[in-house]
Amino acid sequence: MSKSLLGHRMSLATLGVFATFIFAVAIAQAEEIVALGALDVAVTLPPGWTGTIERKEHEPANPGYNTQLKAKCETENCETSLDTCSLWVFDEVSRHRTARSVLDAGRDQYEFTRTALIHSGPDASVAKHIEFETLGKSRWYVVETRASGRYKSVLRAETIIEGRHLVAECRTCSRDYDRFDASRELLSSVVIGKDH
Amino acid sequence: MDLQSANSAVEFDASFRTEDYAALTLQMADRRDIKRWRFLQVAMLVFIVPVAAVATLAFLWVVDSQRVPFSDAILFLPKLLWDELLIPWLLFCAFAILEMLRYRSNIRARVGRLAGGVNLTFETNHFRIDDRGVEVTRPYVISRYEWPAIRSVEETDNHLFLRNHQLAAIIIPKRDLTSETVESVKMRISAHVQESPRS
Repeated sequence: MSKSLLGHRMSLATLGVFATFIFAVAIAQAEEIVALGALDVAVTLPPGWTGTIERKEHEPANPGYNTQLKAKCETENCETSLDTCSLWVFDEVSRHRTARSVLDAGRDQYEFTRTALIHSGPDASVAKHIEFETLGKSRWYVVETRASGRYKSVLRAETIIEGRHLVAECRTCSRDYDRFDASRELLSSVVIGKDH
Repeated sequence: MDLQSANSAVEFDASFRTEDYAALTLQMADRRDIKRWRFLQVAMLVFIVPVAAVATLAFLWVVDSQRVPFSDAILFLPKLLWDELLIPWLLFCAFAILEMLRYRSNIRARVGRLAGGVNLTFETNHFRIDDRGVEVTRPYVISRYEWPAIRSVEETDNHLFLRNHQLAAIIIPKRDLTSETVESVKMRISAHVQESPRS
Protein backbone atom coordinates (compact mmCIF):
# COMPACT_ATOMS: atom_id res chain seq x y z
CA MET A 1 0.00 0.00 0.00
CA SER A 2 1.42 3.34 -1.06
CA LYS A 3 1.98 6.14 1.43
CA SER A 4 -0.63 8.34 -0.17
CA LEU A 5 -3.30 5.65 -0.04
CA LEU A 6 -2.46 4.84 3.59
CA GLY A 7 -2.54 8.51 4.48
CA HIS A 8 -5.91 8.89 2.70
CA ARG A 9 -7.43 5.97 4.59
CA MET A 10 -6.04 7.29 7.88
CA SER A 11 -7.66 10.64 7.20
CA LEU A 12 -10.96 9.02 6.45
CA ALA A 13 -10.81 6.95 9.63
CA THR A 14 -9.95 9.97 11.69
CA LEU A 15 -12.74 11.87 10.09
CA GLY A 16 -15.15 9.01 10.78
CA VAL A 17 -14.16 8.78 14.43
CA PHE A 18 -14.48 12.50 14.81
CA ALA A 19 -17.88 12.54 13.14
CA THR A 20 -19.07 9.71 15.37
CA PHE A 21 -17.86 11.60 18.42
CA ILE A 22 -19.66 14.75 17.32
CA PHE A 23 -22.84 12.76 16.64
CA ALA A 24 -22.61 11.11 20.08
CA VAL A 25 -22.22 14.49 21.73
CA ALA A 26 -25.12 15.86 19.72
CA ILE A 27 -27.34 13.01 20.86
CA ALA A 28 -26.31 13.56 24.47
CA GLN A 29 -27.17 17.25 24.22
CA ALA A 30 -30.40 16.83 22.27
CA GLU A 31 -33.65 18.14 23.60
CA GLU A 32 -35.97 15.45 24.84
CA ILE A 33 -39.70 15.61 24.17
CA VAL A 34 -41.63 14.14 27.06
CA ALA A 35 -45.30 13.28 26.81
CA LEU A 36 -46.91 13.45 30.24
CA GLY A 37 -49.58 10.97 29.31
CA ALA A 38 -52.38 13.19 30.51
CA LEU A 39 -54.68 15.18 28.25
CA ASP A 40 -52.09 15.16 25.43
CA VAL A 41 -49.72 17.49 27.28
CA ALA A 42 -46.09 17.29 26.19
CA VAL A 43 -42.96 19.18 27.18
CA THR A 44 -39.54 19.58 25.55
CA LEU A 45 -36.79 19.37 28.12
CA PRO A 46 -33.87 21.76 27.61
CA PRO A 47 -30.47 20.21 26.79
CA GLY A 48 -28.98 18.50 29.79
CA TRP A 49 -32.29 18.06 31.60
CA THR A 50 -33.88 14.76 32.51
CA GLY A 51 -37.41 14.08 33.53
CA THR A 52 -39.56 11.49 35.23
CA ILE A 53 -43.33 11.28 35.31
CA GLU A 54 -45.28 10.40 38.40
CA ARG A 55 -48.93 9.55 38.18
CA LYS A 56 -51.33 9.01 41.04
CA GLU A 57 -54.56 7.20 40.65
CA HIS A 58 -57.21 9.45 39.21
CA GLU A 59 -60.54 9.39 41.04
CA PRO A 60 -63.27 10.69 38.74
CA ALA A 61 -65.29 11.93 41.71
CA ASN A 62 -62.32 13.82 43.11
CA PRO A 63 -60.12 15.16 40.30
CA GLY A 64 -56.82 16.78 41.13
CA TYR A 65 -53.27 17.35 39.96
CA ASN A 66 -52.40 13.67 39.78
CA THR A 67 -49.90 13.81 36.92
CA GLN A 68 -46.53 15.34 37.64
CA LEU A 69 -43.39 15.80 35.58
CA LYS A 70 -40.25 16.12 37.68
CA ALA A 71 -37.43 17.60 35.62
CA LYS A 72 -33.89 18.03 36.78
CA CYS A 73 -30.90 19.81 35.28
CA GLU A 74 -27.86 17.55 34.97
CA THR A 75 -25.37 19.92 33.32
CA GLU A 76 -22.12 21.11 34.85
CA ASN A 77 -23.61 24.53 35.50
CA CYS A 78 -26.35 22.94 37.56
CA GLU A 79 -23.93 21.24 39.95
CA THR A 80 -24.17 24.26 42.22
CA SER A 81 -27.55 25.70 41.21
CA LEU A 82 -29.38 22.33 41.39
CA ASP A 83 -32.16 23.50 39.08
CA THR A 84 -35.38 21.50 39.14
CA CYS A 85 -38.83 21.96 37.68
CA SER A 86 -42.11 20.27 38.56
CA LEU A 87 -45.10 20.48 36.29
CA TRP A 88 -48.55 19.33 37.39
CA VAL A 89 -51.48 18.66 35.09
CA PHE A 90 -55.05 18.74 36.34
CA ASP A 91 -56.95 15.55 35.61
CA GLU A 92 -59.82 17.09 33.73
CA VAL A 93 -60.23 19.65 31.01
CA SER A 94 -61.28 22.92 32.58
CA ARG A 95 -64.30 24.92 31.46
CA HIS A 96 -62.00 27.95 31.50
CA ARG A 97 -60.14 28.33 28.25
CA THR A 98 -57.51 30.87 29.28
CA ALA A 99 -55.38 31.58 32.32
CA ARG A 100 -56.91 35.05 32.78
CA SER A 101 -59.99 33.60 34.41
CA VAL A 102 -57.95 31.47 36.80
CA LEU A 103 -55.90 34.10 38.59
CA ASP A 104 -57.56 37.34 37.66
CA ALA A 105 -58.88 38.08 41.15
CA GLY A 106 -56.62 39.96 43.54
CA ARG A 107 -57.13 37.46 46.34
CA ASP A 108 -56.12 34.55 44.04
CA GLN A 109 -52.98 36.37 42.97
CA TYR A 110 -52.13 37.12 46.59
CA GLU A 111 -52.60 33.45 47.52
CA PHE A 112 -50.48 32.39 44.52
CA THR A 113 -47.64 34.66 45.65
CA ARG A 114 -48.00 33.53 49.22
CA THR A 115 -47.67 29.87 48.22
CA ALA A 116 -44.51 30.62 46.26
CA LEU A 117 -43.02 32.41 49.27
CA ILE A 118 -43.91 29.58 51.64
CA HIS A 119 -42.17 27.13 49.30
CA SER A 120 -39.09 29.38 49.26
CA GLY A 121 -38.42 28.98 52.96
CA PRO A 122 -38.36 31.52 55.77
CA ASP A 123 -37.46 35.17 55.12
CA ALA A 124 -38.03 34.78 51.38
CA SER A 125 -39.07 37.84 49.41
CA VAL A 126 -40.70 38.48 46.08
CA ALA A 127 -38.09 39.01 43.37
CA LYS A 128 -40.58 39.59 40.58
CA HIS A 129 -44.18 40.50 41.29
CA ILE A 130 -46.86 38.33 39.72
CA GLU A 131 -47.26 39.04 36.01
CA PHE A 132 -49.18 37.66 33.10
CA GLU A 133 -46.17 36.61 31.01
CA THR A 134 -45.84 35.13 27.52
CA LEU A 135 -43.89 31.88 27.51
CA GLY A 136 -43.76 30.26 24.09
CA LYS A 137 -47.21 30.27 22.55
CA SER A 138 -49.02 30.58 25.86
CA ARG A 139 -49.48 33.13 28.59
CA TRP A 140 -48.70 32.17 32.17
CA TYR A 141 -49.11 33.85 35.50
CA VAL A 142 -45.55 33.90 36.86
CA VAL A 143 -44.06 34.97 40.15
CA GLU A 144 -40.41 34.72 41.23
CA THR A 145 -39.09 34.67 44.74
CA ARG A 146 -35.70 35.25 46.28
CA ALA A 147 -34.89 32.79 49.04
CA SER A 148 -32.58 33.52 51.91
CA GLY A 149 -29.88 31.37 53.39
CA ARG A 150 -29.54 27.90 51.91
CA TYR A 151 -33.09 27.70 50.59
CA LYS A 152 -33.96 27.61 46.92
CA SER A 153 -35.63 30.45 45.08
CA VAL A 154 -38.85 29.56 43.37
CA LEU A 155 -40.52 30.39 40.09
CA ARG A 156 -44.19 29.51 40.31
CA ALA A 157 -46.32 29.57 37.19
CA GLU A 158 -49.88 28.69 36.29
CA THR A 159 -51.81 28.61 33.05
CA ILE A 160 -54.60 27.04 31.08
CA ILE A 161 -53.78 25.86 27.57
CA GLU A 162 -56.76 24.65 25.57
CA GLY A 163 -58.55 23.79 28.80
CA ARG A 164 -55.55 21.99 30.33
CA HIS A 165 -54.81 23.48 33.74
CA LEU A 166 -51.06 23.45 34.41
CA VAL A 167 -49.13 24.49 37.49
CA ALA A 168 -45.35 24.62 37.52
CA GLU A 169 -42.82 25.23 40.25
CA CYS A 170 -39.14 25.57 39.38
CA ARG A 171 -36.41 25.91 41.98
CA THR A 172 -32.79 26.98 41.95
CA CYS A 173 -30.01 27.80 44.35
CA SER A 174 -28.63 30.36 41.93
CA ARG A 175 -28.93 34.05 42.77
CA ASP A 176 -28.17 35.25 39.23
CA TYR A 177 -30.52 37.51 37.36
CA ASP A 178 -31.08 34.89 34.63
CA ARG A 179 -31.41 31.98 37.03
CA PHE A 180 -34.82 30.93 35.70
CA ASP A 181 -34.07 31.17 31.98
CA ALA A 182 -33.91 27.40 31.53
CA SER A 183 -37.13 27.03 33.49
CA ARG A 184 -38.83 29.53 31.24
CA GLU A 185 -37.50 27.65 28.23
CA LEU A 186 -39.04 24.47 29.57
CA LEU A 187 -42.42 26.10 30.23
CA SER A 188 -42.35 27.72 26.79
CA SER A 189 -42.17 24.28 25.21
CA VAL A 190 -45.43 22.98 26.67
CA VAL A 191 -47.71 21.88 23.84
CA ILE A 192 -51.01 20.08 23.54
CA GLY A 193 -51.90 17.23 21.20
CA LYS A 194 -50.30 16.76 17.81
CA ASP A 195 -48.14 19.89 17.92
CA HIS A 196 -45.11 17.98 19.20
CA MET B 1 -114.82 74.82 62.31
CA ASP B 2 -113.54 78.25 62.84
CA LEU B 3 -114.65 80.51 65.69
CA GLN B 4 -113.58 84.02 66.45
CA SER B 5 -114.36 85.76 69.68
CA ALA B 6 -114.01 89.39 70.62
CA ASN B 7 -110.81 91.42 70.29
CA SER B 8 -109.00 89.86 73.26
CA ALA B 9 -108.83 86.32 71.96
CA VAL B 10 -109.17 84.18 68.94
CA GLU B 11 -110.62 80.70 69.10
CA PHE B 12 -110.86 78.04 66.48
CA ASP B 13 -111.02 74.30 65.98
CA ALA B 14 -108.39 72.36 64.05
CA SER B 15 -108.55 68.69 63.07
CA PHE B 16 -105.47 66.48 63.38
CA ARG B 17 -104.47 63.79 60.95
CA THR B 18 -101.53 61.38 60.85
CA GLU B 19 -99.53 63.73 58.66
CA ASP B 20 -99.80 66.47 61.27
CA TYR B 21 -97.96 64.37 63.84
CA ALA B 22 -95.17 63.75 61.33
CA ALA B 23 -95.02 67.43 60.50
CA LEU B 24 -93.02 68.43 63.57
CA THR B 25 -90.38 65.76 62.98
CA LEU B 26 -90.12 66.84 59.38
CA GLN B 27 -89.91 70.46 60.41
CA MET B 28 -86.99 69.63 62.67
CA ALA B 29 -85.40 67.53 59.98
CA ASP B 30 -85.45 70.49 57.64
CA ARG B 31 -83.32 72.64 59.91
CA ARG B 32 -80.02 73.49 58.31
CA ASP B 33 -77.88 72.04 61.09
CA ILE B 34 -79.93 68.80 61.10
CA LYS B 35 -79.65 68.51 57.32
CA ARG B 36 -75.93 69.09 57.52
CA TRP B 37 -75.58 66.44 60.22
CA ARG B 38 -77.63 63.97 58.20
CA PHE B 39 -75.41 64.58 55.19
CA LEU B 40 -72.27 64.10 57.30
CA GLN B 41 -73.67 60.86 58.70
CA VAL B 42 -74.21 59.47 55.22
CA ALA B 43 -70.79 60.69 54.08
CA MET B 44 -69.15 59.08 57.09
CA LEU B 45 -70.90 55.79 56.42
CA VAL B 46 -69.98 55.91 52.76
CA PHE B 47 -66.32 56.60 53.42
CA ILE B 48 -66.01 54.40 56.46
CA VAL B 49 -66.76 51.30 54.36
CA PRO B 50 -63.48 51.33 52.39
CA VAL B 51 -61.58 52.35 55.52
CA ALA B 52 -63.07 49.39 57.35
CA ALA B 53 -62.24 47.14 54.41
CA VAL B 54 -58.60 48.21 54.45
CA ALA B 55 -58.47 47.77 58.22
CA THR B 56 -59.92 44.27 57.89
CA LEU B 57 -57.38 43.34 55.23
CA ALA B 58 -54.59 44.75 57.38
CA PHE B 59 -55.79 42.70 60.35
CA LEU B 60 -55.96 39.52 58.26
CA TRP B 61 -52.45 40.22 57.00
CA VAL B 62 -51.07 40.77 60.51
CA VAL B 63 -52.54 37.57 61.94
CA ASP B 64 -51.28 35.45 59.02
CA SER B 65 -48.14 33.69 60.25
CA GLN B 66 -46.99 33.12 56.67
CA ARG B 67 -47.87 36.49 55.28
CA VAL B 68 -46.39 38.08 52.20
CA PRO B 69 -43.88 40.84 53.13
CA PHE B 70 -45.54 44.21 53.55
CA SER B 71 -43.73 45.86 50.64
CA ASP B 72 -45.18 43.17 48.34
CA ALA B 73 -48.53 42.76 50.04
CA ILE B 74 -49.35 46.46 49.69
CA LEU B 75 -49.13 46.10 45.91
CA PHE B 76 -52.16 43.81 45.98
CA LEU B 77 -54.31 46.27 47.92
CA PRO B 78 -55.72 48.31 45.00
CA LYS B 79 -56.68 45.19 43.05
CA LEU B 80 -58.16 43.52 46.12
CA LEU B 81 -60.31 46.57 46.87
CA TRP B 82 -61.32 46.89 43.22
CA ASP B 83 -62.28 43.21 42.91
CA GLU B 84 -63.97 42.69 46.26
CA LEU B 85 -65.23 46.05 47.43
CA LEU B 86 -66.21 48.15 44.44
CA ILE B 87 -69.62 46.77 43.56
CA PRO B 88 -70.84 46.25 47.16
CA TRP B 89 -69.61 49.74 48.06
CA LEU B 90 -71.37 51.34 45.09
CA LEU B 91 -74.57 49.54 46.01
CA PHE B 92 -74.19 50.72 49.60
CA CYS B 93 -73.60 54.30 48.43
CA ALA B 94 -76.68 54.17 46.23
CA PHE B 95 -78.75 52.81 49.11
CA ALA B 96 -77.45 55.43 51.55
CA ILE B 97 -78.13 58.28 49.13
CA LEU B 98 -81.57 56.92 48.34
CA GLU B 99 -82.39 56.72 52.05
CA MET B 100 -81.18 60.28 52.52
CA LEU B 101 -83.38 61.48 49.68
CA ARG B 102 -86.34 59.47 50.96
CA TYR B 103 -85.97 60.71 54.52
CA ARG B 104 -89.16 62.74 54.53
CA SER B 105 -91.32 60.06 52.94
CA ASN B 106 -89.85 57.48 55.32
CA ILE B 107 -90.91 59.54 58.33
CA ARG B 108 -94.42 59.97 56.95
CA ALA B 109 -94.61 56.24 56.29
CA ARG B 110 -93.40 55.32 59.78
CA VAL B 111 -95.80 57.66 61.51
CA GLY B 112 -98.55 56.34 59.27
CA ARG B 113 -97.74 52.79 60.30
CA LEU B 114 -97.88 53.80 63.95
CA ALA B 115 -101.30 55.25 63.31
CA GLY B 116 -102.52 52.10 61.63
CA GLY B 117 -101.54 52.96 58.11
CA VAL B 118 -104.30 55.36 57.19
CA ASN B 119 -104.48 59.16 57.13
CA LEU B 120 -107.70 59.64 59.04
CA THR B 121 -108.73 62.51 61.24
CA PHE B 122 -107.71 61.50 64.75
CA GLU B 123 -109.16 64.22 66.79
CA THR B 124 -110.20 67.83 66.73
CA ASN B 125 -108.42 70.27 69.06
CA HIS B 126 -109.89 73.55 70.20
CA PHE B 127 -107.45 76.45 70.35
CA ARG B 128 -107.82 79.68 72.29
CA ILE B 129 -105.15 82.32 71.83
CA ASP B 130 -105.37 85.37 74.12
CA ASP B 131 -103.14 87.77 76.05
CA ARG B 132 -102.17 85.12 78.58
CA GLY B 133 -101.10 82.46 76.17
CA VAL B 134 -102.33 79.49 74.19
CA GLU B 135 -104.88 77.01 75.49
CA VAL B 136 -105.39 73.71 73.72
CA THR B 137 -108.40 71.57 74.58
CA ARG B 138 -108.53 67.94 73.57
CA PRO B 139 -110.87 65.22 74.81
CA TYR B 140 -110.21 64.99 78.58
CA VAL B 141 -107.15 67.27 78.33
CA ILE B 142 -106.70 71.01 78.68
CA SER B 143 -103.20 72.37 78.09
CA ARG B 144 -102.31 75.98 78.79
CA TYR B 145 -99.04 77.52 77.57
CA GLU B 146 -98.31 81.03 78.78
CA TRP B 147 -96.45 83.31 76.41
CA PRO B 148 -93.05 83.15 78.18
CA ALA B 149 -93.06 79.39 77.46
CA ILE B 150 -93.34 79.96 73.74
CA ARG B 151 -89.80 80.46 72.45
CA SER B 152 -90.42 80.94 68.75
CA VAL B 153 -92.87 80.36 65.93
CA GLU B 154 -92.23 78.65 62.62
CA GLU B 155 -94.56 78.50 59.67
CA THR B 156 -94.85 76.13 56.72
CA ASP B 157 -97.45 75.93 53.98
CA ASN B 158 -99.64 73.67 56.08
CA HIS B 159 -98.74 74.30 59.73
CA LEU B 160 -97.82 76.76 62.40
CA PHE B 161 -95.39 75.49 65.03
CA LEU B 162 -95.26 77.29 68.37
CA ARG B 163 -92.02 76.04 69.84
CA ASN B 164 -92.04 75.57 73.59
CA HIS B 165 -88.97 73.35 73.59
CA GLN B 166 -86.11 72.46 71.27
CA LEU B 167 -87.81 69.13 70.57
CA ALA B 168 -91.47 70.04 71.06
CA ALA B 169 -94.02 72.49 69.71
CA ILE B 170 -97.69 73.26 69.65
CA ILE B 171 -98.85 72.21 66.20
CA ILE B 172 -101.61 74.21 64.52
CA PRO B 173 -102.73 72.70 61.21
CA LYS B 174 -103.88 75.42 58.80
CA ARG B 175 -106.04 73.03 56.86
CA ASP B 176 -109.33 74.03 58.50
CA LEU B 177 -108.53 77.72 59.03
CA THR B 178 -109.42 80.63 56.83
CA SER B 179 -106.66 82.94 55.78
CA GLU B 180 -108.14 85.68 58.02
CA THR B 181 -107.95 83.40 61.02
CA VAL B 182 -104.37 82.48 60.22
CA GLU B 183 -103.43 86.15 59.97
CA SER B 184 -105.24 86.93 63.19
CA VAL B 185 -103.38 84.13 64.96
CA LYS B 186 -100.04 85.29 63.60
CA MET B 187 -100.77 88.84 64.66
CA ARG B 188 -101.53 87.84 68.24
CA ILE B 189 -98.48 85.62 68.38
CA SER B 190 -96.14 88.28 67.02
CA ALA B 191 -97.33 90.63 69.77
CA HIS B 192 -96.03 88.23 72.44
CA VAL B 193 -93.23 86.14 70.85
CA GLN B 194 -89.98 87.70 69.66
CA GLU B 195 -89.17 85.17 66.91
CA SER B 196 -92.39 84.86 64.97
CA PRO B 197 -93.31 84.90 61.30
CA ARG B 198 -94.58 88.24 60.08
CA SER B 199 -97.55 88.64 57.77
